[in-house]
Amino acid sequence: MRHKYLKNVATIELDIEKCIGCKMCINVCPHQVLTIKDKKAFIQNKDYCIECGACDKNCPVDAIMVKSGVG
Amino acid sequence: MIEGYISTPIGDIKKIKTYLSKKDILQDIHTRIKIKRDDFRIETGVYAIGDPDKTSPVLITANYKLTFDKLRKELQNLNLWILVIDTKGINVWCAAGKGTFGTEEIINKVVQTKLVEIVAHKNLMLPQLGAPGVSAHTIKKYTGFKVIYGPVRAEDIPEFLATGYKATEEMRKVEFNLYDRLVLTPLELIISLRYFIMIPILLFILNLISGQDLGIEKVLNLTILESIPYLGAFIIGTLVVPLLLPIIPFRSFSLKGVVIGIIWSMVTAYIRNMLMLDFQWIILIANGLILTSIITVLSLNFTGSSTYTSFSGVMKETVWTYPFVILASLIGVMSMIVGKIGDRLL
Ligand code: SF4
Ligand code: SF4
Repeated sequence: MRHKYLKNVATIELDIEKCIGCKMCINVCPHQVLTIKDKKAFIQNKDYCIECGACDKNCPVDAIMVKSGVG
Repeated sequence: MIEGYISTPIGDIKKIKTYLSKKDILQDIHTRIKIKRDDFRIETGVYAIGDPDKTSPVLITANYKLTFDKLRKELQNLNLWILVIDTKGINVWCAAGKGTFGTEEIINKVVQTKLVEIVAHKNLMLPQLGAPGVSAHTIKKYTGFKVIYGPVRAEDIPEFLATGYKATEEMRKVEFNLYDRLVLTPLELIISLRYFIMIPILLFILNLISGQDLGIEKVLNLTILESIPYLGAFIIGTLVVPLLLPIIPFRSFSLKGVVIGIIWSMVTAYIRNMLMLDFQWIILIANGLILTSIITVLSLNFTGSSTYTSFSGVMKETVWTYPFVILASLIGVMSMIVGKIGDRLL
């Protein structure tokens, strides 16, 4: 069973213009938030995001912004 | 742990066993049940598994004994190198969040250990759970090594390597199943029981004042009976709520707590009436408010252990939960005092 947390609170933002479709964000995400759509990243399941910041840190072109909490 | 040495261009490297000795297992249990868990570190540096050569993969891991043991026991019949970095004795996920399993430390260790002289390739395999602390392209920029994120769980590493670094979606997923939740609960219960202690004490004082003519034995019995629902609330908040998590209504942990709190209040009120302790609405309401508050706070607290909550979400819940809980428990405590000794105060 897939756990779901609060709706629409995660702070993830994606700049489609910058994205080069390298899939790095998809590889690192532990909750399958992102997918590829038309050769670009796409936020498919925003409510699964735990704001770990892995996608943000590993995007080579800085196309993703996540406010990750410390702790 | 060490079963020999392997010679390399930069000297002898320790060869690590892929099974745990009795001593390892005992040590691991010991570190696991200790509340302060970060006092068991592995020396940093390069280690060998099996008979690795220049072409063998390099795995990076944390210098926490439990993490290291979990990793090596999954690597039977493989030949590879392990690079242990300094995460201050903390596991990969927590260290990545704190930034100690991080870009800079990996770059430093790759340079210090002269990894380029040990292997001929340019790949580093990192646990996926380390990704929040690591910037793969930065490591590449400074060391020339390409970061490949391996599976979440060590048990999937052999398959990941055998299929040429291909991770299935399952391997990338962090679960939070019944077992994961079960292992967390005992510690939560023990920690929270510290706060339970004051409840029988307060009840005893109130009962003593209100039941002066009852005699000490009856007062004690009543106090014990009245404390049981509270003990139940602590067990429910730390054990039952986490276990039933996905089937309790609402996404918010606080609201899940409120639901279970109300149910528990009604159950205990019903039993109280059956035992005919007395029938005072004000006491039932007091109990209900306090019991629900306790279970709500404990449920919200479990967001800290869950693997699917976001910082923003927890903040949002905390901000509205606490004012309500404080108000409810204040009204609860005041009602209890009025119900128990109100007539003596007047
Ligand atoms: S912050 Fe973490 S959970 Fe959220 S999308 Fe990025 S990698 Fe996935
Ligand atoms: S890591 Fe960045 S560039 Fe690569 S697919 Fe994701 S958003 Fe696009």
